[in-house]
Amino acid sequence: MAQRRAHKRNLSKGILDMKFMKKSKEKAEREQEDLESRDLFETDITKALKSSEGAQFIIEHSMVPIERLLNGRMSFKGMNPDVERLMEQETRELREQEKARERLQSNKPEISDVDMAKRLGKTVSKKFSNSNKNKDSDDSEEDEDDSEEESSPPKRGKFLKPADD
Amino acid sequence: MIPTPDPAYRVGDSVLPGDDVSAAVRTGDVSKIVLGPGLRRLGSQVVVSRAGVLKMPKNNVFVVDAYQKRYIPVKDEHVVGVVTNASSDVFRVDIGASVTASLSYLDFEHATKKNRPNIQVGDVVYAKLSTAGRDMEPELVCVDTHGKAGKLGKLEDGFLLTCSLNLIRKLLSVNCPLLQALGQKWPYECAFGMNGKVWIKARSVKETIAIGNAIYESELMDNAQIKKMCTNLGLVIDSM
Repeated sequence: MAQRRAHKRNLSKGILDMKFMKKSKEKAEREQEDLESRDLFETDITKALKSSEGAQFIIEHSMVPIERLLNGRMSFKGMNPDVERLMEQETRELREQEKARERLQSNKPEISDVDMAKRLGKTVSKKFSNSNKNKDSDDSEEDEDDSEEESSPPKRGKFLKPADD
Repeated sequence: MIPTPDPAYRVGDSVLPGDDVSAAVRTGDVSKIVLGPGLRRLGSQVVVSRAGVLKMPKNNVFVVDAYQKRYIPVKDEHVVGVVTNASSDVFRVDIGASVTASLSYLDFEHATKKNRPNIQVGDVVYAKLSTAGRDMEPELVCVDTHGKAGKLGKLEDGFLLTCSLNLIRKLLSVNCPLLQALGQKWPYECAFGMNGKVWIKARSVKETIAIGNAIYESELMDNAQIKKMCTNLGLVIDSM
């Protein structure tokens, strides 16, 4: 048991508590829980459950994922703005997931060829026009990053040293 | 025991606990089969564990469905509960299951050992089940993995009513129009627990009663009837 745990590297608690590690933290917790329950029920697991026959069955105790039920906490017409904000966020996430699933099923790439051509056409042409204007190679590379912004930022005047009195 | 020949059960049949439905479950594509509540594996067999109707809500997903009021705790489900005892370090919460659930006072947002959440006996909480085993007492939490409350926590004021688990599932399915239709009439908040407890909070007693009755009445209605009832209810309440 201890050996099994030892050779698997885990992220430290400090890292998992960071704001952007939410998904990784959930995953790590789930893994930990699985491990614990496996240790607990190791003696109960029969050979039949472990075999390929067992792999074809998925046990689901809850109706929530089966019927894709909504979260039961709701608010309407501004009764509780906090809950309404969370509801909005949830529906947005749900829609995105749906979109992602559709995309996966239809086997279409995330960005269509036309979109890519349009986008790339703009940036690449800009790069060439810039590099033609001023032959400085450093400048053109910088422009790649902020192609969305204006191409020529206003030039700052040169620093003038005040005359000593 | 005399072995009896298994009748060939099919989807849509009534089944009883102990019935072997392996044949019914293995009719379609057998690479992945999901066994929902009411079905259990026993060796290579699939056996029913509650009385009801064998249903297939999605492809290769099987459940036994029955009219049910007693809640069986399931991990990660959201429930509405009433605090029955606030002792030293855990609150006892009645969620309508066979035993009361426990809710640690540390499992609230911003709660520390010194800063206890303000929860009294009789308060209503919306919480998530963190553990729910057959042999163990269910445990609740009011925070997510990052210590944020989100939608969970104490429910202030409002009105609590109890209904069947089937009605909760019906109202929370994506295509049920009731909650949206009521939301277009009056501002209100609600919390539906998977355990059959519903908490509502509206602006006035009149509206609360109207929403509560609408929830009860919609149990045996289809979507068109529900919509019609909501428009009628709006007219009646507004004219009062």
